[in-house]
Amino acid sequence: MILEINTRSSLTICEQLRNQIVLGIAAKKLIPGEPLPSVRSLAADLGINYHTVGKAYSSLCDQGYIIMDRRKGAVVADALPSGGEFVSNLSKTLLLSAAEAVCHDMDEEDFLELCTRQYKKAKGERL
Amino acid sequence: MRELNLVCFITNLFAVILIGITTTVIPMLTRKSFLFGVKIPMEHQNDTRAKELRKNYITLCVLGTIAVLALAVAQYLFIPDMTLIAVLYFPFLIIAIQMAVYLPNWKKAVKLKAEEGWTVSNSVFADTKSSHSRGRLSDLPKMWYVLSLLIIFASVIAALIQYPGLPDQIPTHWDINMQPDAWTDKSYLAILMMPLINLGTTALMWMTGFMIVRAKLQIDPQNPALSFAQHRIYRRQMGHSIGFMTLGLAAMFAAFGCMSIFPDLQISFWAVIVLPFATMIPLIVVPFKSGQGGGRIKPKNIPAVLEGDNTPEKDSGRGDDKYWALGMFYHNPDDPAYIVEDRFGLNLGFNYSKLPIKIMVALGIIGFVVFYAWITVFLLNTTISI
Repeated sequence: MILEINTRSSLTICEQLRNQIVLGIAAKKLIPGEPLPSVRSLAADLGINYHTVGKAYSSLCDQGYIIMDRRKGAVVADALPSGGEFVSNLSKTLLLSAAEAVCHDMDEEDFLELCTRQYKKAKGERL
Repeated sequence: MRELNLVCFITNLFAVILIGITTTVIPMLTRKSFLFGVKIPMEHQNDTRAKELRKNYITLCVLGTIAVLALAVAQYLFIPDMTLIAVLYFPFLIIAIQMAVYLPNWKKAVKLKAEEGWTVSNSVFADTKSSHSRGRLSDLPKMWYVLSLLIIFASVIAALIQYPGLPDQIPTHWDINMQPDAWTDKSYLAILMMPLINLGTTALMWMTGFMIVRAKLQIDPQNPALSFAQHRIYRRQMGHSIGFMTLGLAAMFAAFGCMSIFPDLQISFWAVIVLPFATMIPLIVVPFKSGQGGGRIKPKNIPAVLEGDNTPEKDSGRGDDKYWALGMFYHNPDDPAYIVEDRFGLNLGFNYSKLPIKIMVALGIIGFVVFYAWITVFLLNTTISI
């Protein structure tokens, strides 16, 4: 998978890196068990600081997307459970997005349709 | 003296013409996304003003080369005894002229970009298949180095076997007709010198190859997948080219070693000098044909390029120009990479913010000053004594 980081984005490089890897896992561009590049080599490839990559990896590790294997380094984790804390976090994020949609006078139908489309896109399905 | 001056004069002419040609064609060989070290957007790469700058540079280069040639001829005709001294100031003269031609164009390119409000992508890319982004040591084809080492090993064995029967003086240097013109006392060190030099050269070539496959590459934001695929092919081509040349050099040094230890052996000049130089040809042809970092390899020649689903976002970036002093020297303390692709030319450059690179540059400068002082004294002595 090719990671793209925009150095002028409003998101920090660390957040972008984390998001890109999550997107990659969802779209099956990164498959469970696949090793990720080492912190050192990814930092050098992207021309960014080691610590930024380290931070992104450790946050992904905390959230369970990747695991730190003693021999292989960072490895994509198997599918995650879809309950518990994650759902409550997600509902908070969605609430905010829905509120923004309401503020912009968006129909419920359009909002739901957009949700469906983005879900499919995340899964890597061709639209 | 006359002869020496003539040889020196002709060498100078050749060097000036060669440097002139290489300097002139640089803008045609450099990736189109850079205009004199300034990153410019895809859609403006063939802009009339950009084209004008490139044309302007080429004209100036040709004029500069003619001026230096005229100077060399004038010096030879009017003060022929100073021809040797030319070696001392010609390099500086050439660099000064190159700079005088390049810098105004770089400035104009910076201005052009600012005036037109051209924006380029601020994105950087990496492939999660780590070996795809930058090469690894294993990308160097081992075969060439194994063969070179075998040759060196064989030459050591041959030297040790021949040693007892050798005369007290062994030849170490040969003239153009392959007749020995320098000898040294017989010793183990003397006969093992060539294999040692050979080993050193092979190691140096291996390091150069490693630097080439390891260099960080410039990625086209329009199609990063293609850039990575091109670079993989380019790395393989360069790995083989440099390996081939390593073998050529190893064969050359081994041949010299053989001439030291087999006094009756006659090897022709062509076989010893010209053939090894011929092994350099792929190393020169590949960057020309494939472009820097494989930028010119056509997508249709690349099996299984993943098509990029990348829609580059339009952003208001100036790109990473600020890290490139004068558009030539990369200085980015945040970038862990040591070796990067040049923005002007086909070579590699360094990240000058790194301590080891700084030390290397400092050593290089000290080495140059010492060498320059030595050659000055040497040439002045030669000129005066004749």
